[in-house]
Amino acid sequence: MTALAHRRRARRLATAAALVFAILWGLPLLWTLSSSFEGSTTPGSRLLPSDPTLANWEMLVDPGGRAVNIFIAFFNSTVVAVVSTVLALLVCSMAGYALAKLPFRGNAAVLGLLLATMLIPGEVVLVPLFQQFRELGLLNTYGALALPHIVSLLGVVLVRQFIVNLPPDLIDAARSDGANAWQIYRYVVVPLIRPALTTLGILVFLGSWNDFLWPLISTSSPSMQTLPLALVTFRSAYGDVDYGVVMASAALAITPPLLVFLFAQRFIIAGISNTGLKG
Amino acid sequence: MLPTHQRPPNTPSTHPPRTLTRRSILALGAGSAAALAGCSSPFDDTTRGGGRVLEFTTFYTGPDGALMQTIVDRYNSSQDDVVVRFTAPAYGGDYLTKILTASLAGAPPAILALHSYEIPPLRRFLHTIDFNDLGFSQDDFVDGTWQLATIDGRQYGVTMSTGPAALGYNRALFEKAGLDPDRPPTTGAEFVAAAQALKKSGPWGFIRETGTFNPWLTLNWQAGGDLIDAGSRALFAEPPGIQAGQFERDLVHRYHVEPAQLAGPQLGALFRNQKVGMVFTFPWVLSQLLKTNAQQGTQLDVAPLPQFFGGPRSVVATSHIYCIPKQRKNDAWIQAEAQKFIAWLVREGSVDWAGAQAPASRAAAAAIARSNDPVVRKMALFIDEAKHARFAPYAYRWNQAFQYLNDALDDVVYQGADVAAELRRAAARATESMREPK
Repeated sequence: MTALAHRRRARRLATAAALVFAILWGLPLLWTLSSSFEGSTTPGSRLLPSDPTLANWEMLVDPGGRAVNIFIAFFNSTVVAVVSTVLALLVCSMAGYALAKLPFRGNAAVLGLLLATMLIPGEVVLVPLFQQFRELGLLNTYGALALPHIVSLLGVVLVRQFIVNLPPDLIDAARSDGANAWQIYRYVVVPLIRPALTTLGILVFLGSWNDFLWPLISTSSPSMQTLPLALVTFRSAYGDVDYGVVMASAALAITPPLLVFLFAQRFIIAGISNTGLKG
Repeated sequence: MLPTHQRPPNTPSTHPPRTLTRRSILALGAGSAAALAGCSSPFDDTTRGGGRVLEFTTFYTGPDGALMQTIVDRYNSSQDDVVVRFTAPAYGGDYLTKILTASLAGAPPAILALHSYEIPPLRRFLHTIDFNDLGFSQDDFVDGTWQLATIDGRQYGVTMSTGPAALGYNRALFEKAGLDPDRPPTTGAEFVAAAQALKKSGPWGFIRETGTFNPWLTLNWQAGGDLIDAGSRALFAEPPGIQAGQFERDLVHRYHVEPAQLAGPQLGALFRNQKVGMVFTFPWVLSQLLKTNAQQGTQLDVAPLPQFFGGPRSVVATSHIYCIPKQRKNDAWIQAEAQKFIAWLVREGSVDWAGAQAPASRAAAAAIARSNDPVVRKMALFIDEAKHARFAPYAYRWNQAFQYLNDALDDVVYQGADVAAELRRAAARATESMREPK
């Protein structure tokens, strides 16, 4: 067999194996979606609903007082995720630029401190974070839900590494044209770090969308619940009665992050691999 | 010179570039932060309580939560002093994480619901309660309930309700199997006979909930056993524990009245779909059972648990105790209002609450038995069983310890593993995990 034929055969085998894994990974998602339209209460593992109905999805809007309207939780999650993402892009890119290109005393120490702080698990700072927001009067507000995601240490480091790898000539040229730091950041750096910003945006969006623990601790009214919290109440309210409703709520919750990841996964991989350890 | 596409736009080289000053950036940031901080959900109508909002946080994540909300709404409309905001954000470990975080920060909910075994580790965050301040005495509560929140002679909460187990059974399946639906089993032998008759006619005789120790625990107590001793040594492998484990194992592997593996995930769904004749059930399921009867024409009913062995009459139960945590700010006012609310709940809310749980208030029992609401009326059975109720204990790292028991029972019941060996191993591991550091 020629080398070309070998390569073709290997590619076909790899594609077949990937297809098998894709089907295995996708089956639970397909089953979730199918079960969300299942009207029969007889437990089963069918891929196609035996008694198709939209009633489960209607129950999401009016759960009869047993859980929060899932679309309210969807709205809350959307607000938090979008605001977190937009502000995180602004804050982290500015911080990354300052660390990469603005000389100031203690630059290296600040970077080292950021890296060291990334090792601290989030659970360790839950109590002081709660205290801080309590003193600021921000508990049970969108501010409490969004602010912890806006300052992303990983995001600052990611952007900083990306900017460090930019050709210094561009920035030098802008400086000699009379551009100040803000103009260099706004007109030179930002257009060049779009891949890193895309990656950061996706990571912050997914992180804030999927966050369960902090919204659980910082909210105290059902109408401020985010989707992960609402899913828990749906599971408790309907898990032993009607799992079709539970599947409908799960299908709604996983759709936005799944779509974000499906369309943007190459940016995530490219962005993380581009940070490297250079500079 | 910069390439054209990288030059600042609309900035001819003869004009000085427009700059964003530091002051305007700071103003923009401060304005955004202020706007964000002030925003609450447009759907939230309870955050503007004028600062007089009492948070009432519970673990009622099921249909009992909807019922408690209606009771709280009634309290809010009966007075103007405070607004009570009821939430049921989570259950189990997540719920305790929320409570503990807020308590450590000095800003816990004004009133929170706890199980009896959760009070000992959290008592340093809780106010002690004097029944006289609430206008109660110990005699106002069903025997054995008010003591659930007592530690070293101090009262840390008020027992609102308990959740004793009962036998859920299907009257129609009983009739089909030739059994008298008005005479559900009252002994272990009658239970096995009924399960065998049911299995012969089609459905399973009995199904237990997987991953729990609830059927075993009742059996163990009824055989004269216990869970742990005073020194936190696990007693799973004592003779009563082995007798209880063997009974559970026999239901699957000797009498074949219980499946060795569940085909579907949900015990409740199997019972409602008439795939099984008997289950262990609890008060919070009662409304759903009666709703299923009304909607699907089934005849699901409840009865006292049989007395399986010759030991003391015992029924496993949960407990719902309302506690008042300590606050760093406004503590005195919050404590006073919380006491008023709890007192009102017990006096005025117990009858309604019988739609979901077995109230501990003795005064409500008569009204419950006379109620026009069939769920409330049926709850009288659970209230009666409450006097035999026994509760899971508190022990250091009990959450870890009982997992060993659950795993052992799953192996015994579903895999047919040796009862004594499994329980001895589980007891050894549990005892080790409950050993407190010196």
